[in-house]
Amino acid sequence: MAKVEFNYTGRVQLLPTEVYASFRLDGDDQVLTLKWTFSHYSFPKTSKVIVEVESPGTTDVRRLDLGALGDGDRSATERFPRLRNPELIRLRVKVVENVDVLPMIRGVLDGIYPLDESDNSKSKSILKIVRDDELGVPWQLRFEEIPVLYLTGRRDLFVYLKESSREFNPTVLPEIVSQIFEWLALGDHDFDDEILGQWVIFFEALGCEPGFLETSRTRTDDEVEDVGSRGVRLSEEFARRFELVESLAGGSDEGGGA
Amino acid sequence: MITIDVRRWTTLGQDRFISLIRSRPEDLLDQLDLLCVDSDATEMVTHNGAPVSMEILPTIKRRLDLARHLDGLFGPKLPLATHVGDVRLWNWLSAAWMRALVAGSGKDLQKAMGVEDERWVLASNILRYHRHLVSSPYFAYAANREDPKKAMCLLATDVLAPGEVVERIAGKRSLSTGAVCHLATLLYYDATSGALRPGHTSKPGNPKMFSYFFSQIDLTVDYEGVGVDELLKLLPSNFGRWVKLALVDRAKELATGVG
Repeated sequence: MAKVEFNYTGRVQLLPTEVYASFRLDGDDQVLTLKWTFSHYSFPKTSKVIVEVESPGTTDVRRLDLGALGDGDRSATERFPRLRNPELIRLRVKVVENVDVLPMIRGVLDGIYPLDESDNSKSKSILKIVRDDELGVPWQLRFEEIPVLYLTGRRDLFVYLKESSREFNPTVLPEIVSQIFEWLALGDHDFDDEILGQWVIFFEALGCEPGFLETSRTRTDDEVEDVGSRGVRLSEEFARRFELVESLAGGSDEGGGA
Repeated sequence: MITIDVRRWTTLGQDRFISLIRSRPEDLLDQLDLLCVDSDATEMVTHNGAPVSMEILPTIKRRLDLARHLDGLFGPKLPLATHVGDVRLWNWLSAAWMRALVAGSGKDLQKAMGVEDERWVLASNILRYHRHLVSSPYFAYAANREDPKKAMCLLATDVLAPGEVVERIAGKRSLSTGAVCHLATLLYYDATSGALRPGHTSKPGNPKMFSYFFSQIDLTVDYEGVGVDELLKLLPSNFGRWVKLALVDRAKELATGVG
C-alpha cells in the first residue's frame, strides 16, 4: 500500500531541481554555493532561507541563515569552518516565515548532497564514494541515511580502485546494485530524500515494477525472498546493459594477446 | 600529571587498540601504555614540524574540565584544530587518557570501562558517535563555544558516566547546539549546585520526552531559530515541573546579562 501523508500546515515539499548546491574545501574552511528558484511559489518575500549543513556519521552541524527570500530566485555563497566529515555533507533547506514569534516552515527540502567542485569525475554518481583509511577490506557498502561505498585508503588503493582499476567496477558494482536494492526494498526510508529518490528511478529504469520500492515495508518471508531474487535479476540487467562481463572479458583477451 | 607527545594510531595500531578494547585483558592499561608509544602502532602528530605536547591530568573527572583541557589544543587556530575529525587521533587519546580517567573514577577497570566498545572506540555512526567518552565532551563544548555555560546539560556529568541527558541531547544534531541545548540546560541542570537536577530522568518531561517533542515539531517549526525564552513557552504542560525551575534560573541569567 502506498504511503499516505497528511499535510495540515500547507508546508511545500521543495523539489531537488529547484536547488543547486556545490562545495569546495579551502584550508580550514568549507565554501558552500547554493542557488535556488522558488519564485513560482507564493512564499512571502520576507521569508528567510535557512540551510542546515550536516555531516553524516557525526553529530557535526552548521546552521546558515541566507537572509530574506525576496523575489525567490537567488544564489548565495557561505564560508564556514569545515565539518568533521567534509566530503559527505548533506543539506536541509528551509523557507521559514515568522508567524507571531514562531518561525514556521513553509517549504522544505531534505537530503541535498552538494557537488564537490574538486571532484573531476566525468559524471556525478548517485553512489557516494568515500575513502576510509581504516578499512581492512578493499571496499564496503554502508547504509546510514543513504548508501555509501567506502574504499580503503590503505596502500594507496583509493584512487586506484576509484579511477584506474578496470576490474573493480565490473566485478563489484553488480553486487552493490543488488545490496542497495534489498536495503531499499526491506527498510523504511524517506524517499523524499534526493539520493534515495534517484535510486528509485534508477531501479525502475532497470525494470523494477514502478511503486514497488515505495510500498509498505511489512513483507512476509516469501516476499523477502522475492526481494532477493528481484535484486539479483536487476543486478544481472545492470551488468547486461553496461556490458560488464564483456568489458572484463575484453580486458582478459587483451591481456592474453599481449 | 604527565606530559606526552600526541600521536595517532597507524592502521596496525588502530586494529590492535580495537582488539584490546574488545578482549579487555586484565593488564589492559599496561598494554595500552606500551601501545601508545609503539613506533609501528602510532605516528607522531606535528604542528609546523614540531611534536604537539599534551598534559594528562589525573584530576580531571568532569566532562567540562576535559573539554576545556582539550580545547587548549583543538580550539580554533591551535595545533590540533585541523585534526578534530581524525578518528585515529581520538582513539589514540582514548588509550592515552584511559589510565587517568579510570583512576579518577575510583572504580575498577571493568566497571569504569563500561559495556559498550564505542565508549572508547569512536563510531562513524550518528546513533553511537556521541558515546565516545573522550571526544564527546569536546564536541559538545566546541558546538557551544560562544557560551559553554549554556551547554552544561552536556558537560556537567563525569567523563565516565555521561548519563541520560547526554545520550538524548548530544545524540541529535538539532538538540545539541544553540538555544535548544540552552533550553535543555535550563530544564535539567541546576546552576546553583553545578549538577543535573535530581530526578531528571523520571517522567513526565524527561530528556527522552524532550527529544520526542522536538522530533514531533521538526517538520513544522524551525525551532533551531527560536530563542530560549520562546522555546520555554513552547513546551507542553508535561514539562511543567522543569519549566518552573528553568524560569528561575533563566531570570538569574537575565539579571546577570546572559542573552
